[in-house]
Amino acid sequence: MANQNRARRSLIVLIIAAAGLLLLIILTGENKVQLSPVEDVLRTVLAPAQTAFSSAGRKVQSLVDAVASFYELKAENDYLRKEISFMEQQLVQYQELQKENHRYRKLLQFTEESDHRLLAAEIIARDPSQWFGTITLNRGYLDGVEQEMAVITDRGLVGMISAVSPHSSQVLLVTDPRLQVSAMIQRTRDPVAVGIVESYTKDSANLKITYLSPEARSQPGDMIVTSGLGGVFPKGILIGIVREVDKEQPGMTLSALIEPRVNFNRLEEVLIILNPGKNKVSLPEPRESGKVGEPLS
Amino acid sequence: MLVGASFILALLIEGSVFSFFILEKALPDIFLVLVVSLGFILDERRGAVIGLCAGLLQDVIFSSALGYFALAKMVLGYGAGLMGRELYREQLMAPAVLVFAATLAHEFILYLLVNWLMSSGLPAEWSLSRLFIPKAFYNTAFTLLIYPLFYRFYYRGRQLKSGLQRRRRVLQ
Repeated sequence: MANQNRARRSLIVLIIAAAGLLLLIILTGENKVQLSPVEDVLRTVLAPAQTAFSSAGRKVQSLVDAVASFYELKAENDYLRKEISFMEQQLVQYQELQKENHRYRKLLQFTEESDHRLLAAEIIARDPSQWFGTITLNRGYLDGVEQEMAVITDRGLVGMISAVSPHSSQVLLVTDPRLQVSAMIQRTRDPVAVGIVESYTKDSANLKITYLSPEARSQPGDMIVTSGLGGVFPKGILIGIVREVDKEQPGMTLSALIEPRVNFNRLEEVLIILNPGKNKVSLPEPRESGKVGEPLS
Repeated sequence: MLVGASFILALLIEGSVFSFFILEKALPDIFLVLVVSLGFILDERRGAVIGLCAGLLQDVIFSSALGYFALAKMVLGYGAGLMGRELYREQLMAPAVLVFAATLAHEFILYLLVNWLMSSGLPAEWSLSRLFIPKAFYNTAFTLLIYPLFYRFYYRGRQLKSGLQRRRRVLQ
């Protein structure tokens, strides 16, 4: 009985309290602009702790996110790496094509300007046993290539076809000691200025012209072109530029060091002269005397 | 002391940490878990008082008007105390189910109050599926963690108290 009374009293208190709270809601809920002093104090006291917990919460969240997204990120990372690798390959290919296109354009221009019947060929191999001695081209006798045909680029003489197979041919470069080219000084075009261009043993990147007459008046900067004697190389193909003349040479003849215009290290495409024309090949603008030793392209 | 500390800790965690990494919009209401668990362990009077105090604290910190949380939690603390008389307190399932039901009731009371007094509320179906039920599950999960601690602490305290009283009687 006492318990029942107690429970009933509790229920009544609860109902009164609930009604009081409802009133409180109505009173405090309408147009509330400013906090009550109690609210103000409590919120002020709790604010720093809430800030600290909030910061901790953010850290926990970022940690949870990092763990949750680890596998996703790893997969994405792998995918992106592959994508980058693929793109890099494509970029390299694109750059290669661009350079190739540039080279072909120059060759085409040169071919159009030239009087010779020319055949473009790509270098498919280099002989590793000799320093720039021979190269192999992707054109053979089925393309009309024959032995002793001259091989050039838009920059000058490269060498001579030394062996031919159906689909490829070997070129003996002018830097090879086995090849000797009859040449002359373009400036004078004097028969006394004819010499033999051969490899220079002390520096494989350069050539040497020998048997020059002392009357040839050769000087640094002179352009050396083929003389056409011997019938292998058409007349007037640029070989190189005189760097220095050896005046101390005893005897009747002089020799000079020649810097080839063709960069044999960077050769990729060449032209084979199938049928030499009557006129000489158009040459690049001659350089002024003394401006030797410029980097070769 | 422990109850007070629990509420303060719950208040801080609830308003900050949970809001960052709990999925969806529903957040657990540890205050409600504490009120229902303590009301269930103690009795309806103390449950109602704890609910009233905890609710007022929540109102002060989070609510736009005083009384919303206090009213809901006071009623539910009282109800939990009444249920504690009828059900076995030592079983974990009873408070878990009770908290689940109390969460739905709590949210329903708040939904009615907000709709009635503020004339602006969320759609009922959406609220039930996206807020009330997920919150009820969250709270139930927290009950499974919190309730055993309070239960053990309370009955160990009572055993110690009765042991001391017996010793005093023997000494007298």
